[in-house]
Amino acid sequence: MENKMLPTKARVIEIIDETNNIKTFRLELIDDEAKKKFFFFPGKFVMVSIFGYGEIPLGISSSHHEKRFFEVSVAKVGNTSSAMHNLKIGDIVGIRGPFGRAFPYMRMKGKDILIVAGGTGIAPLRCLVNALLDERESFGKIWLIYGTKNKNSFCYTREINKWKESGKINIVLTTDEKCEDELICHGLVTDYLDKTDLDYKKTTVALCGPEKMIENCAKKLISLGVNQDDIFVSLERLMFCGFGKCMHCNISTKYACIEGPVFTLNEVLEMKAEA
Amino acid sequence: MFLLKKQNLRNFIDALSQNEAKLKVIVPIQKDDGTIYYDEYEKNKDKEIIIEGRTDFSPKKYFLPEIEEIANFEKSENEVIIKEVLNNEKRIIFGIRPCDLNALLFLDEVLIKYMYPDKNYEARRKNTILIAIDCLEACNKSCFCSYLGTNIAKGYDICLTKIKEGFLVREGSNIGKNLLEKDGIRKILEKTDKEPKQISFECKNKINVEKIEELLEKNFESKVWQEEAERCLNCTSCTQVCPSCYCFYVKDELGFDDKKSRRLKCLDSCFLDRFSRISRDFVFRKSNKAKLRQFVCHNFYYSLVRNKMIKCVGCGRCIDVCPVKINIVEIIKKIRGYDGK
Ligand SMILES: Cc1cc2nc3c(=O)[nH]c(=O)nc-3n(C[C@H](O)[C@H](O)[C@H](O)COP(=O)(O)OP(=O)(O)OC[C@H]3O[C@@H](n4cnc5c(N)ncnc54)[C@H](O)[C@@H]3O)c2cc1C
Ligand code: SF4
Ligand code: SF4
Ligand code: FES
Repeated sequence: MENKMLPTKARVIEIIDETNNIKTFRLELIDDEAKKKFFFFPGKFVMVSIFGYGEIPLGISSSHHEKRFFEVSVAKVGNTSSAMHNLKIGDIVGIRGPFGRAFPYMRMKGKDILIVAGGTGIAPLRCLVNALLDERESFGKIWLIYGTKNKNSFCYTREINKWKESGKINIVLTTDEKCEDELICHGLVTDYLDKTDLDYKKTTVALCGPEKMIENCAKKLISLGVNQDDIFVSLERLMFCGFGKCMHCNISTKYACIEGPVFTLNEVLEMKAEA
Repeated sequence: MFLLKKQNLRNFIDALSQNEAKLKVIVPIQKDDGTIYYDEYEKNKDKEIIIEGRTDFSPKKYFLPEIEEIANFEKSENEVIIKEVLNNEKRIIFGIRPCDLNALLFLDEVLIKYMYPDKNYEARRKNTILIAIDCLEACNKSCFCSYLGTNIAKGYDICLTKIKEGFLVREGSNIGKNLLEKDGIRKILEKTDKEPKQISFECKNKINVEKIEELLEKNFESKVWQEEAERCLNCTSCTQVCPSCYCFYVKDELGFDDKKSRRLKCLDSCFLDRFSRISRDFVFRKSNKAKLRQFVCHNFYYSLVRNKMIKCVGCGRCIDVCPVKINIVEIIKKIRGYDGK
């Protein structure tokens, strides 16, 4: 059997500055075999190697309908992510995966969908939004509530404008800090969860963001009547392997790299609080 | 079944180390400071080979070294060459005890059989011949292997049992069988129809592992965790000596210029903050309580649910090595006592 710890090569074919701290990298796998086998649904992640600097888990942020390339969006927070920010077009990175369990994309068909993102948590959800919009007619109402610290920390701003113009999705943008822009709401994403026209009892929710945000959103969503099995949460854990060896992503009897990173809220509640 | 006369033990090991395949023979010996550990026979010919009692360190380092290069990278103008690194040294480990053998069987389950194999561990495992030695009685006051069934040697290529005249030698695999038939080795052995006695000792340190996964699940919030963990120093001695602890992290090491680099797999410990730290410096298992609970639950609960095996093999090393006397058996006893309260 092949060595799953060994990366395959991908070339950087485009780099987009999203904010002063986040860049999106468009990557193309070099090996044709690897490209053929590269298959994913929104919510899955890859391990990206910046050779000599390290390897980090990143959610795939482009739609799974795009077969020529895929994208990851990276916040500069430490060693490896900073080295990644120094990459140029044409450079080579290593890729392992995709790993993990995705959002239940197929099961979302026909349903109303609420997507809630906080900070960099938007990355895997952008993948979901684009996938949903690719097949817009297969889904019910779609809402996106996306919150960041301030106006300058929004990713994908051009794309979000396009999404808005398409009229295919309702979007609420929020910032923790007050801002002048009248299209942006002041406050936390939790403050806007009940401000949609969704039938909460029949809505599927996808959540990704800081642990505290997830916790508060979960409470609010349950009180709004959303079924716990219809709330899907993408969790972040330290990860070094992606296939159940290193134990760093272990939560109780589960592994975030195998049963996650996307869990149902029920599963999250079942997993013991660890602190 | 063969008989190896007491006075021939060294000849047997010499014969092993002189075989044509150029295998390195690893034996348990005592360091000057008294520690019993495994090292190359060739470098320690003057030392006594310790065949009785628990070794202070298991031979884990030959399967999961503290740091192991798993790949290296060479960058040039427009290309990166990725090289896989696997350890292909052939070894014989002589004298491995039943507890440590059972730990390898657990590691095989997790690291080879479960999902995709860890190729680095697998390579080392495949390249190692195991010559075990039976334990006939509890070898120290802390071990509790007899309650876990890990006092019985399994998965060996050859196994020795001590008797009055020397050792009974039996094969456990084809590799073992072939090795015993090698000229230099076969002539040291005598055929015998003696059989080793059934092993049936009981350890002093009693543990009850009945439905242990349910017990720990139910008592996840037990006050015992805090009571016991309070004094932990996070020294990681326990996870280092544990023959079945395998958690690792991966890091890259850059060469002098940034053209060449190496990827290293390093053993980690759940008693450290860094084990569960993610962005914004958020540490999931910050408290000692959470850390100790992770260690105990991985050993007796998570491993059972995921791999259908108890990770702990009851060697008792973590108990003896802990500077503040945190005791995995006592913790479980206490939890049983407090069960449901
Ligand atoms: C499934 C998954 C998907 C992710 N998707 C994205 C994404 O799409 N975009 C994005 O910007 N980030 C994502 N992350 C987080 C990203 O992996 C970390 O920010 C990155 O590993 C930091 O590495 P570093 O070397 O730059 O930082 P370091 O120098 O190692 O440390 C900087 C900070 O990041 C934390 N950190 C280090 N390694 C990890 C890790 N493996 N996971 C989480 N935190 C870590 C450290 O504890 C520290 O607080 C994801 C994480 C997971 C588990
Ligand atoms: S947990 Fe302790 S007793 Fe059990 S195998 Fe590890 S070191 Fe030995
Ligand atoms: S050996 Fe004892 S003090 Fe050290 S980390 Fe383990 S439990 Fe804590
Ligand atoms: S990332 Fe290593 S076990 Fe999940």
